Amino acid sequence: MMATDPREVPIAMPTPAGHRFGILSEPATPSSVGVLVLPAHGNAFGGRTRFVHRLSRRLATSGFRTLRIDYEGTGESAGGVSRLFAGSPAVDDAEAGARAVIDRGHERIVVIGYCYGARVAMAVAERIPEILAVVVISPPVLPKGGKAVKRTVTSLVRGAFEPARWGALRHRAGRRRYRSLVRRTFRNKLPWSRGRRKAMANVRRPRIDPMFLNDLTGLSERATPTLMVYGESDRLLGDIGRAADPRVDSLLAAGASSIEFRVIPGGIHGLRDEVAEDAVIELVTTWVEQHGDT
Amino acid sequence: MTTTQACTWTDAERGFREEITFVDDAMFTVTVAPLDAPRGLTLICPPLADDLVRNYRREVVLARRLARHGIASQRFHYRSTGNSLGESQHMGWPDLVDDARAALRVASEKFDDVPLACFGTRFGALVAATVASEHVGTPAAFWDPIPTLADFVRDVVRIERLVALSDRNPDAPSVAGGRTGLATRRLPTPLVDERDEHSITSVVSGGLGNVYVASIVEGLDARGTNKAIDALRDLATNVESVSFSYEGSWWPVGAPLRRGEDDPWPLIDQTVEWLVDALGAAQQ
Repeated sequence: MMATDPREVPIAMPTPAGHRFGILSEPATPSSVGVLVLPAHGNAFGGRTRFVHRLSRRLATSGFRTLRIDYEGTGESAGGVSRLFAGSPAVDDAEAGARAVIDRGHERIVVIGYCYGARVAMAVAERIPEILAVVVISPPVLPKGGKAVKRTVTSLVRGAFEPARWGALRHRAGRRRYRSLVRRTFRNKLPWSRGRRKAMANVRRPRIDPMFLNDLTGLSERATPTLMVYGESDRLLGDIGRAADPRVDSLLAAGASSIEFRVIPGGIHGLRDEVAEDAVIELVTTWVEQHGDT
Repeated sequence: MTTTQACTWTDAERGFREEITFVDDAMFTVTVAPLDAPRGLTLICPPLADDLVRNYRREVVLARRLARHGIASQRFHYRSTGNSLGESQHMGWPDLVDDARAALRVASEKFDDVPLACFGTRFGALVAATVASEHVGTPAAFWDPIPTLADFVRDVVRIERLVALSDRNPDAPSVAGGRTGLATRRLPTPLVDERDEHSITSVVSGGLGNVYVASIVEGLDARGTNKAIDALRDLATNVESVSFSYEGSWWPVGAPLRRGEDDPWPLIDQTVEWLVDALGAAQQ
């Protein structure tokens, strides 16, 4: 390792719910702007391609002290084991991370999130007065983690016999979820139900998560410079197109707000395309450099 | 061997402390120890590639639960993987095993004269078996051990080919994007080149003590694990093998939505129980 390479410094951030772990990528001479990187859920260092790790190191090479964190129940943080959904962003954890960066002498901070982390970044932005800019990479836009699933009675019955379902049913949260799913599906599928008639009208058009729309609107109203990036083959980008929500479209239109919407070749979501990931890393770094001091 | 400024915290309620540092500014290590003097030490050797991502949190929980039973653990990420620094094009089998030995030295400097056990999952089992055999009579626990490095590389290549195939199918459930590439994009190139040179049989130089093998059923072919178990029976004093289901990963669909820190987790709890017994027997 060269003397000018950023150093990695592990830190523990105390929270009321136990510590949260993070790694600071420390440049030799930090800029006045700090960076917080929020990973996707379940990928503490950014999956098999170490996307979050590489992004953090690249930003630090450009002079930005960069912190990446593990959410509760993931990586090295406290807690048992957690599955998190875009609809319940870990804003407390993100705020703790932001404070850890700010407390190291940064008056302004850029928050960057990937996938689930992008939704966390959008949600936590209003809690951080020191926020300079936000970068959201491939955020899911639909409710419950971002997957538009057409559920039928057949698929429900078939799913009931899948061994994986029995595992989920051993736990109260799993049983509660399954009960709600059964109730909703039968209510909407019975021929005489009003729910069915309503559902049929929108069966192929997914609905944007109201929380995503609310957070995006908030970023625009506060005029927070925001970069939103997708890969052109990301399923999540397709969700925006299929939803065809005029409110989202108007916020993402070029020049309409403080939000800059970019689509790059290849796929980012799923962390299988290192060429696209490298392009995103360079794009984000350049964008942060333009919005911060170096 | 130098270590950077360490990060430490203590869980007084559960009776353990953790210390995280980077060895030689590169290798990520985590030492988990009971608040009292430990009665044993377990070196936890991680797997590689997707297995590392899937197994990560399980190893964290395993180490913490071992500490609650009086056993210290040393975890680490090989250089160029996980939270460690480094470039994978320089990492071959000897480098990865050296990292395991370096991690063991970190722990040995802290805990004098305590019996040692080694633990590993998948590729990590091959590494753990190597280190265990260097310390005569050391017990070892494995989750889904790979029988040979060639088997492991072949598995990774097959999965990558399936992924590349599904990425061309717009109706496939997997995420679109990605490109066709060799498995070497996910594994260190020198390691792939050495795939025919290492197996459970070849890496165990001095024999093994008692061995515990947990087979984690994920709908994949369990022949690899069974082959490893057959090889281990000729190398170890005794082999105890058990099967668990739905433990392919702690994270995706099918796994419990949330597990509290104290909730039962059979795969981990039974492994802890075995290691505690094995280390207690080793001490006598």
